[in-house]
Amino acid sequence: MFTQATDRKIKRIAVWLIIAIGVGFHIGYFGLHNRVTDVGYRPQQPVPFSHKLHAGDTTNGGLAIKCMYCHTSVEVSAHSPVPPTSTCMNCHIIVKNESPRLLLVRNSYENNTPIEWQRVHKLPDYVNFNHSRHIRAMIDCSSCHGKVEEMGVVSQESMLTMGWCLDCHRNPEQHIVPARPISGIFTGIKAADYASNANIEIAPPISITSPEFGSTATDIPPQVISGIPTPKHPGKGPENCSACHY
Amino acid sequence: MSATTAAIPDDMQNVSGYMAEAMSPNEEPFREPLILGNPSMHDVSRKIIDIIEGKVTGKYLATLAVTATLAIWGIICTGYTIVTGIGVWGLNNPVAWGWDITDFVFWIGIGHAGTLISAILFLFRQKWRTAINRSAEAMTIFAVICALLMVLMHTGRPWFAYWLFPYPNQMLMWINFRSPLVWDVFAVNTYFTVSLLFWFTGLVPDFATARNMVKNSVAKKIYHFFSLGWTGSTRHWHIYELAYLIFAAISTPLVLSVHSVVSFDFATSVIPGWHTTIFPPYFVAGAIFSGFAMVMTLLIIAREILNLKDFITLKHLDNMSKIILATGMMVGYAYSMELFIAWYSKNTYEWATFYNRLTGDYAWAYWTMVSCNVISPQIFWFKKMRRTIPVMFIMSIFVNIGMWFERFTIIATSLHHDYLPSSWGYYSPTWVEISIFIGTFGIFLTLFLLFAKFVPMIAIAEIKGVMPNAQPHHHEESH
Amino acid sequence: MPSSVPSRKNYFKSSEIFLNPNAIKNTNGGEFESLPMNDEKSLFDNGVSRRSFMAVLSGSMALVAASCRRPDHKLVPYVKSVEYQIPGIPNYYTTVFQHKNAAHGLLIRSSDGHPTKIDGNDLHPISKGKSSAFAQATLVNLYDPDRMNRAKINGGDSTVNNALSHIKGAVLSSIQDGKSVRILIDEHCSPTFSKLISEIEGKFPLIKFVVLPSVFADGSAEAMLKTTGYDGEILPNLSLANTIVSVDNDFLGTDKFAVYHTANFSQNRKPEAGKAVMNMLIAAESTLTLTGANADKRMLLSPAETDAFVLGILKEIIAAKGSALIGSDVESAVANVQTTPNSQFAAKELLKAGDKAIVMVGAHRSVAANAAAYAINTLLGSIGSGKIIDPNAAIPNSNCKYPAVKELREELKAGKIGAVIFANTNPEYTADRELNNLLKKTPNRFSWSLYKDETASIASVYIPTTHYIETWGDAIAPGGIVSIQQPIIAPVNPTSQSVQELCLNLAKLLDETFLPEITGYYDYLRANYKSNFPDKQSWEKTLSDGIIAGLPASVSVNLSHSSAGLAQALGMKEEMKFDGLIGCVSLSYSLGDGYYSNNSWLLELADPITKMTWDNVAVMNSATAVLSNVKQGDIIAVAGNHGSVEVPAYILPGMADGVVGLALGFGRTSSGNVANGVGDSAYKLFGANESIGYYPIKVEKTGKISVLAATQNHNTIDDDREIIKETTLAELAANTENSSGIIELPISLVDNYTYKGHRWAMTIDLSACTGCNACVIACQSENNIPNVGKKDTANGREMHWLRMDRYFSRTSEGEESVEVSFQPMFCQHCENAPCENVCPVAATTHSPEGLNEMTYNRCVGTKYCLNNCPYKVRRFNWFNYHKHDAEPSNLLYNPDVTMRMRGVMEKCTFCVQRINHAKFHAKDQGRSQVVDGEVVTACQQACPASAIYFGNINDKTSKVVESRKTVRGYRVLEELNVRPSVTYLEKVRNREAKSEMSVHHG
Repeated sequence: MFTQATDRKIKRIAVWLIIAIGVGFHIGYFGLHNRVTDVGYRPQQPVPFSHKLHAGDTTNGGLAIKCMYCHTSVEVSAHSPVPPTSTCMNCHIIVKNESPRLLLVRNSYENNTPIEWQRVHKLPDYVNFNHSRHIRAMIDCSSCHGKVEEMGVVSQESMLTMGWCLDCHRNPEQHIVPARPISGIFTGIKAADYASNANIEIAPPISITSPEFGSTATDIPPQVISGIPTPKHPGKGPENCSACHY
Repeated sequence: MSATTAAIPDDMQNVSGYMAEAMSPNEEPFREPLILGNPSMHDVSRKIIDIIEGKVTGKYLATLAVTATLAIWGIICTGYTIVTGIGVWGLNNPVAWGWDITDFVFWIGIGHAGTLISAILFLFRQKWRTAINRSAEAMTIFAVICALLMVLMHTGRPWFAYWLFPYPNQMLMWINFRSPLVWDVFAVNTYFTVSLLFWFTGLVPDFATARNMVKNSVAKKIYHFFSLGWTGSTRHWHIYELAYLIFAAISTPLVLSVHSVVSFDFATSVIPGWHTTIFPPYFVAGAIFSGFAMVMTLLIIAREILNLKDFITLKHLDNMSKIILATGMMVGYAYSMELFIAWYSKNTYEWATFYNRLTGDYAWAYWTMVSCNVISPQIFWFKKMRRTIPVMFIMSIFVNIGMWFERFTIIATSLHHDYLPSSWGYYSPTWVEISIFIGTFGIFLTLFLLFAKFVPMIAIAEIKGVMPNAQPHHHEESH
Repeated sequence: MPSSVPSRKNYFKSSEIFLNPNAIKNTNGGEFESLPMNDEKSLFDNGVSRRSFMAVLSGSMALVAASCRRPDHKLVPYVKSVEYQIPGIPNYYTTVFQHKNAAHGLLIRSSDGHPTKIDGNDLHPISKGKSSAFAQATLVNLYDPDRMNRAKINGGDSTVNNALSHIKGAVLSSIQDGKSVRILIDEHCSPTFSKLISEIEGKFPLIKFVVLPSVFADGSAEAMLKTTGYDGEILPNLSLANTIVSVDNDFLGTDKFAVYHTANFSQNRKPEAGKAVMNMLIAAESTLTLTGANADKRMLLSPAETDAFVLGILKEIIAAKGSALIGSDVESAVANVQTTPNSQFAAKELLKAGDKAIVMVGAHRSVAANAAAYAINTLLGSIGSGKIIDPNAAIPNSNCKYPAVKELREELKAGKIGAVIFANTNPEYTADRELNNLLKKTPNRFSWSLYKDETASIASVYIPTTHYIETWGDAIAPGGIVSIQQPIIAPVNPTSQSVQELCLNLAKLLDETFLPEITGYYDYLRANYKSNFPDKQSWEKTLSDGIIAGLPASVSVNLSHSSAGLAQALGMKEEMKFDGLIGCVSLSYSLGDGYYSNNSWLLELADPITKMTWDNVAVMNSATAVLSNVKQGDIIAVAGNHGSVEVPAYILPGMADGVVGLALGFGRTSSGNVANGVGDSAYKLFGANESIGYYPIKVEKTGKISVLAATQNHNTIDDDREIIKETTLAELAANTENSSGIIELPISLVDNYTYKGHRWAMTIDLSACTGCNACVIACQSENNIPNVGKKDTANGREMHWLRMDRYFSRTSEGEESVEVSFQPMFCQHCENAPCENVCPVAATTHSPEGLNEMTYNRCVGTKYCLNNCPYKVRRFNWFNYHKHDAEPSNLLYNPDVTMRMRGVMEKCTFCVQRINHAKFHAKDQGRSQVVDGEVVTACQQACPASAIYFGNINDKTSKVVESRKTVRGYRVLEELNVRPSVTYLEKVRNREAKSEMSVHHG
């Protein structure tokens, strides 16, 4: 219908148009949505704190302090708070109490001025994520946060997008890391005692069932870890909106 | 140059040949001509291309200035709404849709006549359409643009309006396919796309003519691009006619579907006065009604400003008046039927709503609608009236007003008194919504004026087809 | 301070995560550079779907571009963790709210250290776990940015200590030249404060405390004094009453004990077809009050007829029972009283009920009427321990207030007063002109108050006082139950001090030998209860309970009356000769006396009767309106003998002819940005020794017209839509079919969804509901519902998720004998929700537990759902209503509920946040199901009438299932087959005949 020249012209324009739209949409969509782009966010913290040193494996110089020692209340509260300065000073009142790197911590403790840490993991305010629910389902910290005990400066591992949440709520068996000793969740032993039982017996990898959401998830009898009953197996997570948005 | 100009008559032979086969074999000799002043083929092209080439008249510029001002004012108010929040409109709790959706339906309705004229009348071989179909299609496209603006603006967070489209996203969320609003999104966008392509296809040969005739080199380049290398060869004509026919066939169902879908927004709800099975046909009839009125308004203006009296003749206007009369009585029937069923159903809420329409706070809107849409068109029973320009002009305005009030009555009046008396309220617009509505008129008219200036606003090729000397047996008849 | 009070410093920091835009993200790990970053790898270990893989790639690609845009959030932990303080888990503390001399035990939720919700303390005898809209809304004043944060001397900023020493100087000098000092305090019921007062007055003879109430109502106390010698009132226990005759006594509405009365009253108003028994309320009044609205029989009396009416009843009772119990000279007192059909009817009903009947006369009405009521109750035998009127339930500090104030007047006139301190009293606003002018004449005027109010502006020294949630104190309830008032938060404004603290400090400044061992009011309070709670444990136990039962040993009063005194009291009728219109001045339902007026929750809370917000109106019936030729909305000047107010006219059925109702509490001029200039102050009508009651007025049109910001306007329904259903006790008793009235419509194209786990549903008992609005504020407080202001309310944009619909119905008895019915209306959580299938983006959906969910962040705001909602219960954010929240009012909000932005829809969620937390709790205990009563919605928790049932209808034993079985049950608009989850129980009126619902008003 057209001359060769016009034909070519049109085809060329069409191709460029498609490419432009495609790229524009991609950049536009993923670029403009901050919460999608935060994977790998790795801010420098005011205090050069190394999780690798504190929580890392004893075999290569780590202290293997359980996550729960500092991040208390993760079992009971929606938040997994950054520990107060006093927690640091529990040890550092004696250990390395001269170190210049800990100056800020000591000042904070003496002048009652809190340390302002850089926040790494941030969900929008309209998302009601509850740590305790996931911890009580024996879902290990690393399922979302990655192997923090191997990080010097903590960086964001997961996308923390809604799709990412739903993937796991729908097929937990593909994503969940069962509780590991290092996290110290629900081994029922106080953080203080960990030193004595460094290799405390942990349940075999949990058989993750996928019961329909509603009522059945918690009807499976509790599994017993070294004499201490743990919470139920993780089932499928809820997928209705008001589970997280209210 | 001369070669191409010479080429035109040959093409025309093809066209007229095609047309000749297509049209009914025995033409009544006494049927009045569609083109006056018996111009030659070349005169036709010349006359129409002159509009493009000729100097811009002061009259034209003045009109454009006015409409452009309105358009810009409307856009400013739109921005104000987006920045401040939709609360700057008068909407409130019982009445959450007001002028915004009224205007949306109004503009979609306007669009319909365009497609009807260009597609359906084409399939029915109504030759009188040739003079007006081009501008009618243009009108459709511009009207739908205004409608889309309104439907975008009525959302509380227009910057998220893209969520109404189904696309893979990080939320793993799909749109709700049960929602009539989603159907709307599809219906209106399809309609817009098809109308645009249909219009452009029809324009290709005329762009070619323009390309051949304009002196200005820049204009020539542009028309050259848009004419897609049209040479006017028989092969081109055959493909063209085929494409045109196909588009006509695609658009025809759209005329019915789009407004039916729009009416589902209301018909599928539970609100008395909305929840009505009669809506789809009722809306389509109304759309054609208002559409033709708008075409009439525009053409009467156009033939004055651009001096096209020879092409847009009284016969065209007469025919349109007849259609207005007919569709007007259809909507009249719809009104009475709604009312009757409301009474006959003995449904408390239904009847309360309609009784409230007749007598309530918004009764003035209802009666404006009835008098503009049902009573006043009756004047077209008289042939004299169908041929008096001022009467037709005023009538066309009346109908547009009436049809706007029809949508307002359906939307606002049904909402402000629904089920629980405790939540009854009253809605009146603020200057912002009014400005935005006026703004859409500005946008619409501005686009139309630009179209009239830069695009052959009458289908040159087709109009040649219906000229007396395009008929094979023309000479026998003449003496 | 004990640990229950977190230090404010910590608390602010702990909860604050603020934004630092100009910080640039730095991916350079500094000394940790050597450590590997292994995002991609570990991501794939976790297994990522193709879609998210794409997202990661493009995400990390765009990261480069986006990196500088990522807002830089700070995490600010405690320095030293606070005991009992787990971030994200609220604590609950008890305290007590002194509504004048009425103690309301409260339970306050403190989220991350700041109070976010006020509810009743279920151990407290008055609040019984319930709370009034007023008490709940005082939370707004706690965080009010308009509160003064500096002490002032002659307008200049100063410190509290300087201000106090300045006051001390003035006090000393006036004492030296023999003039006395007066400290004007508001009504209270704090034994410890009383003790402190007496100690101070004992130490400094020239300093005297005077109780200056904003509103005087001495009638009943004076009647008591005259007849029995006991100067005070007694709190009747209506749960024992079968027949209540209320004469101009709005005990369900403006009464300080309304919560207590409502609970007791409604408890006997839930009849069933099986046991059709309920109490009967006969209300005689001249304005349409909440009590009248809930009456089974409402009698419209002109104010002048009141005395005759009550005396008429007395006469009838005497005729039936003889006057043995009250002495013969009473007989002569009522000898020449004409009884009316009304009084005869009332007497008949009273006699039927015997000692289960009570007559209550408004405390602001005449001594005669109150005395007559006393006589009647005595004759009926409803007075006595264990009876309705129990001498043990004496109301503390309910003595006559006029005498002290009269004395003050005299002293002021005589110029004996050298200095006056306004302690949380605001005479410039509340007192009559005469007293004001006298007070203005005193040489030294000092103001201690919550706000820099009208009086503070005429005082030379101003010291900000604390909100009751910030201070220590105690309160005694009728029946001698003492509660400790403990601070839930350190003063939001650190410079403020409580009135008690200031009194103590001033006394110590004046004379350092005064209580040398006491350092602060807390010590004083603690010392006061040292004997009862020697050790920390018992003290903290008391604090956590919120009450100290039977302490001091119940304050019993001796009610042996003298016949002569009674007869004399019966003679003290009020002189009421009106030749023109009658102005009736009463407390406002929302604002009370106006002390807490700077409160957007209260100002936007619709008056239960008129549905007016953000304004007070002159209420009159159509006849009166025609008479004085005013129309709805005309701004009229209501002129009394002492002043005039300009308010819009509001035409309301059910008012006595010629009576124009006006509410107090409005027209503040110096309370804060919210209340200033809202309405006009009806206090201006009062002359010397005048307060709420009836006064001759004139009405003139000003020619101005006002837009009435009413949430509901008059609409006559003359069709048969059954939105609100009513029946009478007789009909209910006659009803034999014992099945629920709910129609289950079978119409459905698809099979019904089966709810596996929970299925949430609610029941509202319209018969128990009195329309007190407590639920409306509870919902607003729990769900962070914004206020929209007068203009938008007038345009029908109020945001309350739960609205109180009010319907009028005419009885056959003529124009003004209207009946009022209330219907709490909110999202019905329909199973076939019309809103759900029209939302194009699936922002509102149905949960597997039957909730109709609204996901704000998905909403694009087409408003289609609102249009398609038959109940019109959805609310749209037309603007960003939270934009102007100033510090610290942003601490008011419930952290468990999302703040909605502009352009999104919102609505009742059945308090889904509470449901979720209850489910969490159940799961932690290994239960898959929440047990009944574990989820309590905010409205249900507040409802004084206990008219709301909420629960899981898959649990067949739950209360909500029980409540739906009744024959009274129906669902609004169920004929639409939307299948609401909310069941309403028909309103029952205790009468024989069917009430003719000829005309409804919306």
